[in-house]
Amino acid sequence: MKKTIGKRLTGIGAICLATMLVVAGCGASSTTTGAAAGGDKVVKIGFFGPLSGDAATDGVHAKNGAELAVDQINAQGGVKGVKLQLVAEDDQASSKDALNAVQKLIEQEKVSALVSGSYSGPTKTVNPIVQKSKVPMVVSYAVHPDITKGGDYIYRAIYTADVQGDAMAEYAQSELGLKKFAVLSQDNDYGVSIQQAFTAKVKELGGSVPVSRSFKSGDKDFNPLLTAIKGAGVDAIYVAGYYNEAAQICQQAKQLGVNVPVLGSDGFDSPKLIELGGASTEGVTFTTPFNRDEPRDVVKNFVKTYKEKFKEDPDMTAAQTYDSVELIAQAMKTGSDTESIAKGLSQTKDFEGVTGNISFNAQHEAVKPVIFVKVDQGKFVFVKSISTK
Amino acid sequence: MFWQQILNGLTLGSAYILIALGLTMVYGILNLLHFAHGTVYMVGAFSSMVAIIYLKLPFPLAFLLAMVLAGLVGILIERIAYRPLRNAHPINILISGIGITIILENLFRLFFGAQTRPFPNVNLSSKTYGLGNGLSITNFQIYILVTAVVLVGLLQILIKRTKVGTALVATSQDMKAAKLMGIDINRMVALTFFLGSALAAAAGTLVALYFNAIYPTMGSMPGLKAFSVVVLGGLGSIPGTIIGGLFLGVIESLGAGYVQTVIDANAIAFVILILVLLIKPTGLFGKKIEKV
Amino acid sequence: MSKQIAVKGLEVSYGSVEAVKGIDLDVENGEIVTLIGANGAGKTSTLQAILGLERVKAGRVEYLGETITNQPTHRLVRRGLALVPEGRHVFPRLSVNDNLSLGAYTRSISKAELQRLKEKVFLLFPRLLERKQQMAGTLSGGEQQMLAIGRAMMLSPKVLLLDEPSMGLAPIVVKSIFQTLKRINEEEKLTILLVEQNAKMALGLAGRGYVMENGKIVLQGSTDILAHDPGVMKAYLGL
Ligand SMILES: Nc1ncnc2c1ncn2[C@@H]1O[C@H](COP(=O)(O)OP(=O)(O)OP(=O)(O)O)[C@@H](O)[C@H]1O
Ligand SMILES: [Mg+2]
Repeated sequence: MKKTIGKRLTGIGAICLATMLVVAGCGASSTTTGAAAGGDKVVKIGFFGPLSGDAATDGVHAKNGAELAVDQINAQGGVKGVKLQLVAEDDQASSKDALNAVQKLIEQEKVSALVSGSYSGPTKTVNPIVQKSKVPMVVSYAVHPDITKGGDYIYRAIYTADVQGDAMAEYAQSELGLKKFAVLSQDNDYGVSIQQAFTAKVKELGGSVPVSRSFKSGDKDFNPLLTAIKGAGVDAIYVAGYYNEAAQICQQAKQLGVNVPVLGSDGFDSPKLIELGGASTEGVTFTTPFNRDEPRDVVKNFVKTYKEKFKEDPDMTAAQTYDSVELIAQAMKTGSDTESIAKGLSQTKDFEGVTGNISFNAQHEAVKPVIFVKVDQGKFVFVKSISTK
Repeated sequence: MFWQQILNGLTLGSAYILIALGLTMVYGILNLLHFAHGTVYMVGAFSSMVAIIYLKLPFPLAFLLAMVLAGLVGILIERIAYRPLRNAHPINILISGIGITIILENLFRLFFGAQTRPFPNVNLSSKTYGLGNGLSITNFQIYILVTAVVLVGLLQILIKRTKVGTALVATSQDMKAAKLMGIDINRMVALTFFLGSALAAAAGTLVALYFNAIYPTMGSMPGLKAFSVVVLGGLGSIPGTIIGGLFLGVIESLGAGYVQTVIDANAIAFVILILVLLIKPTGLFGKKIEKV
Repeated sequence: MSKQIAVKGLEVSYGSVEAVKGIDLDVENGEIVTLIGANGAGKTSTLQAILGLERVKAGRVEYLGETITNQPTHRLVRRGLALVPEGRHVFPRLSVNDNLSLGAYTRSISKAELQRLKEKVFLLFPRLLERKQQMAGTLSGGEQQMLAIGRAMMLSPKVLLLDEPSMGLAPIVVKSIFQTLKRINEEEKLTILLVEQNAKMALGLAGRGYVMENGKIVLQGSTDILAHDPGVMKAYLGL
């Protein structure tokens, strides 16, 4: 009897141990790319984003973009001889993990600048410690308005939620002639802030939003929401969310026979949208900062080298994060300490990034064009670009 | 739109039934809560995908192969995680199941990545059939409904009309007496895990096809929902599970369609779970409940 | 006469509780042997250990001359060893008919043969025939005991072990069941090991007996002698 209890305990022990090993194996160890400590002077740039979990596609692509930028800058001899080193942490799109990641990056890794490759929620959460530590941070693609508030160290390489919400509302009403919208929004900071901006602008321009519902990240069954929308008889569906759920929405809308246009936010901008949504995404129009067909050299070079290195097409998060690192690098031209980088960032004017010409305004927000992209025969096609204030 | 929501709910409920049957059967025979069952659903979906992409099997064959593979994985889980603990405290068994879940999810994440993948192209494009009055049904919904009916029917025949089925029932009613009939208990347990896991794999594959999405954590929510279904129907009761599954599916659809502002669709299952535990812990059709 | 069952130095423990402390016991072909003893003497533990339901800690069990110590129960059943367990253990939510079918689970026999076996059981216990389609859980205690015995008979066992078949039953029912056991033994030449607390009935039925106390055999011999032993008379026969 004693023997069997012993055996049992060993069994449980073995399982716990194996679990811990596996979890630790894929868990939050940081990865380092770029210059190794050698003769050159090296500046560390900290990155955090969802490298595992539901949002991993975005985080991994963002990290790819950052890695590509670091490699290219180092290959050209760094910034005035100073090489860059990227230290990446996984936050699983969770605010708690992001907080730990940023603390570690600032206190242990002593990074000189930070790049957020994560979502609005986590990025908003780390705001206070970033501002307090006076480490400059560039936010790649998180759009919640509050992210840049409360100090002079956080800059955003993408426009805020209201810019794209407004832009789509205007485009849909004045150019597409749509009046009555159903809005589906992801129930996080990102979705809610875009949904609010869009709804307000639609009403301001005389349209209406008879149905507005939210959904959770990871939701798969949209039939009940779409059935409710079907009953409401709207002109279009606006989705403030990401590609995973957007693909489901497109597909299930088609299946239910809800045949109205689907419009979306920049969370749609991933090849995954078409991969998961298939033919049902045909005709979907969304706003994004990144036009992969643009004939500018920086864009062509980026798309080509990214594809060579990662064997897939870059998406919006990759482009945004690539630009974020490039923005930090160009801010380092006057010095590579945290204060110089922060100062350099504040003076950014007409920087030619892959996502357009970027300037930071007094609120540390990027001013650059909003681009409309449409899915046409299984490809993202540029529709138009409008400049913002 | 009411009937459309009901139809959506029945489809959803059919998938819940296929998942929940395994849980209920395992509880019936071993009185244990098979926490890792949701992962088996995920394993089923991935197995179908691998069979289609790498073994180039046509969909129906891949589907059957996935059921068999997941069935074997179920047997393996019982061997590794539950059998060594057969007389241990239920909490230990639960923890062991959670451990297996974490291990399998991470293993699949290592091999296939965390991202959502589309279901491989199997030349099944979605078709929608109008039923009049704005009511419509897709071919995928039909597959789920028909598969659920067929598999539940086959399971009933196996249990009610075959010798091994009677042995299975006997084992779940009295394990000691079953041994004295010369029944090899471990084979019955293995068979139970095999059948339950195969049904979960069928659900996993069909839902992955329906939503065109496969990812390593896809089993966690359905696993928890199946648990609510089983508690609702009465632990160990197959008819209860069937009614419970349909009920939850329909309530969720109606809830999401009409009262979303009040309560989140995913939360409905757990509200039901709590209510049942408070009001009628034996569920709709349950026998006595074991203290856990 | 050959030994159907031989137990040598058998020990069984539950954790630190020693239930059976090294006993010897045999049952020869065709005889009825009884094992009597008070509550907690270790009788059930002995039977369970023989059948592989409890682990044998030390000692040996032989069946038909072969060692079967700690073999899995289902294999022993397949070899013709049947136990009617304490508390009857019928399958409550299966019919009487299904319960009987399960008794023959391990045997590959035709439907006709299965039917013939059931009819034999119904001859022994006509009450079961009346209740053929009834759920076993709804039978009376006596009927359940009949079903448990009938179910064991479906195996056509070589040795039948019974654990307190009289438990909780009215004297008249006990009497009828014991008569049936006698009949089975005589007509089928079936070897029986009967565990009982009802020493009077058991000693009346069996040819030889063992008396167990605190995990040990304290007396053994022909039932005539045991029935007149002053210790047994005082302790078990209430005389
Ligand atoms: N599963 C168990 N765990 C712990 N102790 C047990 C267990 N089963 C029996 N025992 C103990 O072993 C001893 C022998 O029990 P056993 O059931 O063999 O006696 P018995 O002679 O059959 O008694 P009764 O006539 O009451 O059925 C008792 O002291 C009992 O408490
Ligand atoms: Mg006893």
